Amino acid sequence: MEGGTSSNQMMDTKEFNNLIIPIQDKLFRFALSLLKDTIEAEDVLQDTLTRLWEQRNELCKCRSVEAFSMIMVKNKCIDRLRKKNYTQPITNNFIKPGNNNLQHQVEVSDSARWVQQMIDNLPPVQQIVIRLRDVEGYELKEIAEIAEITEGAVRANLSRARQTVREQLIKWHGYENR
Amino acid sequence: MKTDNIKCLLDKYFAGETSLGEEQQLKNYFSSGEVNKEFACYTPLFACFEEEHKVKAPVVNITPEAVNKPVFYSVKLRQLLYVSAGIAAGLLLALIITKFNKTEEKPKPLFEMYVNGERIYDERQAIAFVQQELTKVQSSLNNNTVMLNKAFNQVGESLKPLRTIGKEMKKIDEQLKKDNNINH
Repeated sequence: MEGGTSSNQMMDTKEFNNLIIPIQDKLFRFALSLLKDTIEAEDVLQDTLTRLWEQRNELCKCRSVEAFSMIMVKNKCIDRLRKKNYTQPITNNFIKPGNNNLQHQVEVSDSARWVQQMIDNLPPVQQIVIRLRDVEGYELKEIAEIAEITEGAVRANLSRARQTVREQLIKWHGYENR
Repeated sequence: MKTDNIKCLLDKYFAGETSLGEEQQLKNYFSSGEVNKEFACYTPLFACFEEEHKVKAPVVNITPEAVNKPVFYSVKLRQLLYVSAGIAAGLLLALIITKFNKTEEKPKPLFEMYVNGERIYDERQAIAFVQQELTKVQSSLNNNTVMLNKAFNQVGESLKPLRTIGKEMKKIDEQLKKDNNINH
């Protein structure tokens, strides 16, 4: 994760962009994984970037701008989910089939979508942990900071999430091969 | 990569014990297209992670209003406001306390007496009150002695028959003694 700039002067647009643009995709994917809605995730990203810009001078003091931004995204998503009261059906828009109709691509995309559903059915903490690790490639310590849990809890949740997915994959593969 | 090595890595992976480097090895292996049948069931898992990682954020521009907005100093301002408000409140409290203490510091009276829960500072008033109370007590004592005398008189009257009976009894006793002496 990138550390904050040590400059004490007011941050300009260029400096801000240099700091935020590299993590923008991660912020969006994290919002999308939590909200399962592209439009809502875009809104959260917009809100987060605006807020980060407003607090740009505070960012200089941050130990990790990336963790700070990810936590902000997480909190904004949680707020939105609370407002919605979880009443809306959750559909993940992460993976869309490719435009070219190659059989293999469709198959991979379908199975990947199925795995995605498996992950979406995991408890929320396990979803966050497995995605931050396996999709974004964060260290356990960084995940603990973002998810605001202990490193031990990250390890336990990651292991449980992967075990659950493994069991379901083996079961599913068994059905496929019958 | 050797099958045993992959198997070992997969076991470590599902136990949550792999490093990021080892996980990258697994990702590379499963995206290579040369996956051993034994591990084919895990291909969709790594494919899913790869697909999700491909998702890009839309172009998001910070609104011109936000860009032109002055830097957000409100946190510092708010802190300053809280601190100054706290100091002001403290000063006000100190002022009130000292004022109350001053009002309570009255010169102690030379004479102080409690009568029926009331505080009396005037000595003459207290003496008059005591005298009044004493006369009340005296008059009630007088009344009571008159009544006691009456009661004693009544008791005396009622004891008269008993006295006559006593006299009669003595007479009988004396008579009996005389009769006994004669017989002897």
